[in-house]
Amino acid sequence: MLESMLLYLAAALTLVTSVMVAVTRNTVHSALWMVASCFLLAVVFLFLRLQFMAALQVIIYAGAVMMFIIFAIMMLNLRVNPGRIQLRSTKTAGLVLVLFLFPALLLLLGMGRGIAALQGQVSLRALEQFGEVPLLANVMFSDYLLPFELVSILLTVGVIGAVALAKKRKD
Amino acid sequence: MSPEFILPAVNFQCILPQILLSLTALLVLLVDVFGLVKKANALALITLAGVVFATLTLFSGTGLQETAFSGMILVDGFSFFLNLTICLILILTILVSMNYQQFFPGINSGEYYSLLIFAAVGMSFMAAAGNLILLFVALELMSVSIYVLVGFHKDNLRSIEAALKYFLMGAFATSFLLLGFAFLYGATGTMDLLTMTEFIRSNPEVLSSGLFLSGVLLTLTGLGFKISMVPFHMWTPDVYEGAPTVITGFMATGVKAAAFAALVRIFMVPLGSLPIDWSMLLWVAAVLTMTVGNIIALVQDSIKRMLAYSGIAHAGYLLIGVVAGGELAQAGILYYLLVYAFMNIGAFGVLALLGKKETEYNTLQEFSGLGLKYPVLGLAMAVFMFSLAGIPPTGGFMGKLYIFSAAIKSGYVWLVVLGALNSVISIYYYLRVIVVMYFQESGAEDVAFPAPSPAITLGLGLAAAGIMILGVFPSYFWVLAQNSVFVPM
Amino acid sequence: MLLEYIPILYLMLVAIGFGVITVILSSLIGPKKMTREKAASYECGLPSEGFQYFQTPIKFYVFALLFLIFDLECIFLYPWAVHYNQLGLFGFVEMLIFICILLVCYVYVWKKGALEWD
Repeated sequence: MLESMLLYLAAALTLVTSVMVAVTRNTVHSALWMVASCFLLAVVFLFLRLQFMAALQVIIYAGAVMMFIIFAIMMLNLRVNPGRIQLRSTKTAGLVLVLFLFPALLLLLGMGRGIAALQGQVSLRALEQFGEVPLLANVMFSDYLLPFELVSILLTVGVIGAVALAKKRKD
Repeated sequence: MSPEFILPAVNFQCILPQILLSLTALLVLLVDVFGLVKKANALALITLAGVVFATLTLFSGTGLQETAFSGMILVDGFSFFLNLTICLILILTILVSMNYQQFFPGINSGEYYSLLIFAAVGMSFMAAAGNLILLFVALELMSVSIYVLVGFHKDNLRSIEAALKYFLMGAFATSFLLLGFAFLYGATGTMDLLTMTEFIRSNPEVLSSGLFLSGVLLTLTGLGFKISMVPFHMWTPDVYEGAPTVITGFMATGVKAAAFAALVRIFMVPLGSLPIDWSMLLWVAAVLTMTVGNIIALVQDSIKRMLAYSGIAHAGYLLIGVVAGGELAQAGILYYLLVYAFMNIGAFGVLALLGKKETEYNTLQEFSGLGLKYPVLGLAMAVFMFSLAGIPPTGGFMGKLYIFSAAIKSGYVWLVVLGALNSVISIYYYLRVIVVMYFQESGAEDVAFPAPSPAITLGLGLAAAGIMILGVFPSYFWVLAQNSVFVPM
Repeated sequence: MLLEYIPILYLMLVAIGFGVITVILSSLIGPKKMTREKAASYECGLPSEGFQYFQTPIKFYVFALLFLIFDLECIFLYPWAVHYNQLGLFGFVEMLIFICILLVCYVYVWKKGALEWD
């Protein structure tokens, strides 16, 4: 009971901080809100017994990706007050989309009895160990071997792309 | 108590072409960065040799019907046919690039060729994927490589703009796709396509669950973006126009082939039994995609932009096949993708050949008199245009015929009528190019054509020959395509 | 399950408490004499000049991305290292392939001169 209450609290706080990311005008503040949001999401993962995911969330998102975003902010030279950008029509369109699409999606999901499919296939013991690293390692290095190796190629492509685009040509 | 690790069965034989391609890409990268070769075309030739070798190894796996890597890879005719198509696309693109690099020396680098190959590796894994996770990683591999390739003209603002646009929208679309996969997993409890098919067959009630339907819609959005299906087509003209011309040809054909492979694997087989109103959704999308593409292409002055809209229209024709469903339609899609690879890379190859040093955005006027001045080049361009328009002796006609007849067999007569109408509209703007080429005095004298190199002669010759073979003697490839349909084991 | 995280909670409480208490204590007990030096942004070092926001060169971007990529690589090493005893030779070879591909990437970056600050 207490656990699920804390879970909902963390989830709600994640939502609030995420909204703050979007509405704060100062880009650096917005980045800090995002750090908070990432940490809170890690807490949510912890309550869902995904310890490893929580650790990843902190190391990758709150650590590396955030640093990357700060670099981007510095590079683009985004001032505190970016002047007046007239986005009213886009704003209205966005608002309409959010107001209609989001409930529609929720409604569709509410209809879902699909989750029942998962039950019975997953044993309770597997669920207990779900977030533990050894189990993940077992799956990652056996069934998901090929995507795992492909990820290293994907990372390589990322590096090649960054260097090819950002590095000056030697003429 | 740590769980026990069970050794998986590993069969490298079935991904040998992909392994060879990846090794070639890494090799080219290192050869370039260590400065081991000095000649201008050496990198391209190394790449070409590797790709051709990988293509040849492809044939060692024909006729197999099995899964490998715990169901990750489906070794079947479908994978074979699409891998063949993708390798052909890669070979043609490299041949065309070798000429293009005369104008844009920046293209002639290890990065360019290795990214090209890595994109193809992503595409071929997409075609062979039997698992949503692998499909996703492969799609990312393909997309990230192409985002970079689109922006490869670093000094050209339009190229940069195209790359940024494609990247931002692509990342957005990918997040939809990922959420869709998550919902599909939530509804069926599996990421494996064969198991999912099995599950849906034994629990048809899952088809009407909200979770499942949201998954289907979101997946369709993500893949629809990649094939530039209306209404997710907005990026196409700007990106196709801004990208280096050879890359435009590559992405128009390769990405489409890979994304349609995913559509067939996910939508036509496991979801083949969706209730009728869901295929109505695709019906509407197919009609809109054809019509929007064709109508806007009518008024384009820039040939590159016109071909971009024509790319949207062709996605519409292919969607007819997806709507029709069934094995005949699958074979039609495969055949069409092969023909489309030849004709589109050919058309963009001619454009790349005509590109000038400063700009590569040819207007229609610059084509005037081309057919008389350069008869062979003009003839090749005429073949590509006739085929894109779908006029009889060419492969484009046969491809459309197969898809349309499959749709009629499935009872979608109106869809075919609309498709045929659209083809008639498209004849206008394709033939306009030919008319300008042959019947208009060449006005501008400043369009200087370089002497065609052996590479581009070979590339355009292959493409034109491929179109004619597929048009005049379709039976061999049609039988191959029919034997290559994806049937769950 | 939740009880396992109680020590972390204690740690957080102690850390927050320490910070809060020292700030409160120093403001209560400490003498308050304001001088010009104290009002400066930094008591030691160079006085800051120029506008706070300036455009950083894109060179940083390459470094940031390289850090990100190799950070991700380390993340993939983590489950392998934890479960190494069970994964055995098979896992070792797998990881070797993974690292070799990224090694090629590293060599490329090095030879390309992307690690140099020119």
